[in-house]
Amino acid sequence: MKNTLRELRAERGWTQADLSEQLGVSRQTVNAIETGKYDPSLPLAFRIAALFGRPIEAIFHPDGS
Amino acid sequence: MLIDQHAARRRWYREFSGTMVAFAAALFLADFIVEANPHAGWRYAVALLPVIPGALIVVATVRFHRRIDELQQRITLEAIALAFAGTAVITFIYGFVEQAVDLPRISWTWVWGVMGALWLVCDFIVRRRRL
Repeated sequence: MKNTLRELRAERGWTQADLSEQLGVSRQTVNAIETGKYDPSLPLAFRIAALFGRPIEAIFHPDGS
Repeated sequence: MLIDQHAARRRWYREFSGTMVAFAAALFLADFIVEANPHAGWRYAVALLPVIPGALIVVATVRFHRRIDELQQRITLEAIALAFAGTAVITFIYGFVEQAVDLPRISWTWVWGVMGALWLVCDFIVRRRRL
């Protein structure tokens, strides 16, 4: 799955550590999501969506779309 | 629930090292008492003394696993699953070969040593792939 997490984070001027703290996950987990190595669980995806004030589908996209 | 991952790790180091020290102390103490009283009826109960801090190590490990985030949980579980399978294969093969040819008989307590070593290796491999 692709996502725009890195861009959204950059827009707000947050570091990966800042974002990880707000989401309650490790910095490595934020990095793994941004690089597409890990797809977050639905609860974590909802937390990310709520934090950026966007629907999940505006942040995460299935591969090839 | 949001959990500070750094705090979770610090707490784990504290709980794990504390219980390990207690385990080592109980092991040493139980061994000393049993050696000094080789015919006492209660020596079996004393020999089981390390079970108490041993159980606390398990409790600390479970608590840590519940505090870490979902990716870290996944990495840990994958590494343990691989180590579990690897240990089963290695110990079974050794057991069969031990019967077929004249290999030294190794204590079953080494099974944990094999699993622990494999866990470290598998954790390293899974982390490289996942992170």
